[in-house]
Amino acid sequence: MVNLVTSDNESFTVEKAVASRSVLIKNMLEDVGESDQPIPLPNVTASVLKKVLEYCDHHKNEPMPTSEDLAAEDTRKRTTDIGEWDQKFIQVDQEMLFEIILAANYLDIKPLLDVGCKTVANMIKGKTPEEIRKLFNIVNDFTPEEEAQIKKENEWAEDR
Amino acid sequence: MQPSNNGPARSDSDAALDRLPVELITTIISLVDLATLTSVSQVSRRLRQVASDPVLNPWRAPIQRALQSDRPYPAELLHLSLRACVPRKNWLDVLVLANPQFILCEATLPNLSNGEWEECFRQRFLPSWVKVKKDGRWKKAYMETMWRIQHRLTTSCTTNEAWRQYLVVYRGGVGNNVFNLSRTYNPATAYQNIKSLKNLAHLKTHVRVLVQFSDVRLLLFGVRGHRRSLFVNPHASMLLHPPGVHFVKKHFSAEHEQSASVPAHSRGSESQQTIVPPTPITPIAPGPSNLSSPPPSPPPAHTALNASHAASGSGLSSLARSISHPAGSAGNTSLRMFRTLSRHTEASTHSAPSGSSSGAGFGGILRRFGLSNGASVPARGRVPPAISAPISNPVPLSLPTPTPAHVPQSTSALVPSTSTASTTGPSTSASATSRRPRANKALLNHAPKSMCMYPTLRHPAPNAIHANYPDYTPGGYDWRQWMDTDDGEDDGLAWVGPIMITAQLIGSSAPLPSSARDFEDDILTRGQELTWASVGWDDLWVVAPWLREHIRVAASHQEGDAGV
Repeated sequence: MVNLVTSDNESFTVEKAVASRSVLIKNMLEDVGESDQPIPLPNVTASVLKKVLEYCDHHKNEPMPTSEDLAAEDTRKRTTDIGEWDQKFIQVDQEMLFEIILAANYLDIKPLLDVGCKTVANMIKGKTPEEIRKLFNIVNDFTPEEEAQIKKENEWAEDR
Repeated sequence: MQPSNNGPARSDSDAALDRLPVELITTIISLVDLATLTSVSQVSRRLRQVASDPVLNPWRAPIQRALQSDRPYPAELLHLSLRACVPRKNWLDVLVLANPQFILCEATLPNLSNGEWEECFRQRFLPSWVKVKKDGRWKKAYMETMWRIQHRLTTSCTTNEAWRQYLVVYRGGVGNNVFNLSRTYNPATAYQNIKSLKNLAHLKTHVRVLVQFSDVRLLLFGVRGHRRSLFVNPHASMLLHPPGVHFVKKHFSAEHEQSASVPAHSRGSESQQTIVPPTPITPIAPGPSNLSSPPPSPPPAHTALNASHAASGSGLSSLARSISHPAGSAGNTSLRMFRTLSRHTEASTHSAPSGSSSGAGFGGILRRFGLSNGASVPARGRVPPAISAPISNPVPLSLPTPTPAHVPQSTSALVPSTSTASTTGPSTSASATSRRPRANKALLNHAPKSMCMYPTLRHPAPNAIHANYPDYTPGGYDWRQWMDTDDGEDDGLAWVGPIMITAQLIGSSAPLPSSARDFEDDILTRGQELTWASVGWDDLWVVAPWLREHIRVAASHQEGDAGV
């Protein structure tokens, strides 16, 4: 078993197979060897880690993606298809979604990062700039000159 | 577990997408289509910055997806060059991959530098097509070639090329370039004549796709006979199966499952392939000194690889460490690619002809006549033209094109270290391990396939179905290997008699052939209707540089006197 300590000092004890889905933790375990020492995760809160561990637990028996697989995926057409279980798993509020993405990036869990990124990409797809701003509460910080430039660019690039 | 909502509190004005690290934003927005990415680039200054960054370049993936899709190109691609936030280097992909119709008649082309147009030309077209360039401007050469291709694909006009050139390679290593009247050219008929001259008319003609580029694919015509026949042509096998490159079962099995077009019996044959562990390749510092020829020496001992080759029935073993693509003088002894260990002690002085099983036959024939090849035969053929940069890693636009006097970096990276080259005589596995060259990590990391014998061909850049060429490409369309096993190469069949290499013009949007057999039948029955192009030795040396020192190019012929 592996003991993980979150940024808010909550402790999680999980199977090694589950924790090892994270390349970061896996490497730490390999470096440290057999030890009861808790592994601190200062960039992950308890609520997010709980969710991440749920994902890791569900996928613990799947083979880890190799660097070859990842490179091959990059070269092939990447789609935004997400598995059924993963789709249900990732149905969380926006805040948690981005926290999961950041945690997956920090913990180096590539499949979870992919699920998170694909989910955000699916949310954005087909939306106008204004709709995207609204969806993610993004402030339009372009100057009037920049706005005018973009408008002109759109006119030029419009297929007539 | 239920979704948790008790994360850190955040105000409504917080924009999480905007706050992500730039590489994560890039990952996300590179998953969307071009229209959405255009919208994203107009959301906020930060997102526009990410979208405009030429290093992050989130446009590359959507553009490539659009170009490689079977669907018509999206409207956003037409005038993408007018958008300031799209890094200009993306147009390299467009100009290399897009179909001629789109480039000539639909797209708004950007203002690229002469060097960028040159790169586009070299990545897209066969090296011998450079003859179109006359006035020094690469854009003109590129556009003129595109017009010619479009013209040839849409009409039966042969004004631009009255004579079509193809190559014939005889089993003795003599190569002829033969010219045929373009108007009547049919490679099936031309090869039938060659077969008749060699008394092989009773054997069925086989056609293989060697490699496919955006506008053209190179085809090999040949016949197959008994492997122990004296007429075995080792160069055919060597051309299709680069020495040292082996079929990797793992990559093909998964892909073939998805490929409905792959015949079941071919899939079954995959399991017969031998998996050979990758051979590390030692880089050495580039420079002329590294090209200077070390004295010919026996190859290094390589017990592990040798054993695996022995198991596979191949005469090749440590080829990879002695590979260098032709870049310098053809007569340079350091460019001997095929020095290898063999299963037999005396064979260490022979060169192994091929990575496939037919190599054993070749070596056998040579031994039968008390001859050796490769290492003891002086390199022949022409010096590669300045344009060739035969097989190289992607070259940044700013880099000058390598000339024969300068070895491309990628080439030098493949030259074995002198310590390895100077290793002599057999050794124990321990000593072999100690001499094992260090892997070129950068090179290996860029090759997802575990075999990294050759750098991937980039000039010209193969089509996606042959993206790993000269290594095998997963996806079910690299038919070089499994048609052989399908035809029973392991049961004693090999390429016999002369082979013919010709080029077929294809539209970039041409549908892929459904299966290897259908394709072969199509070529043999509809040869006259299809569009063909000329192929020269310069093209072959770039596509298959390992053949160069095994083929002696004879004089040109017109059809009818092609027999040697």
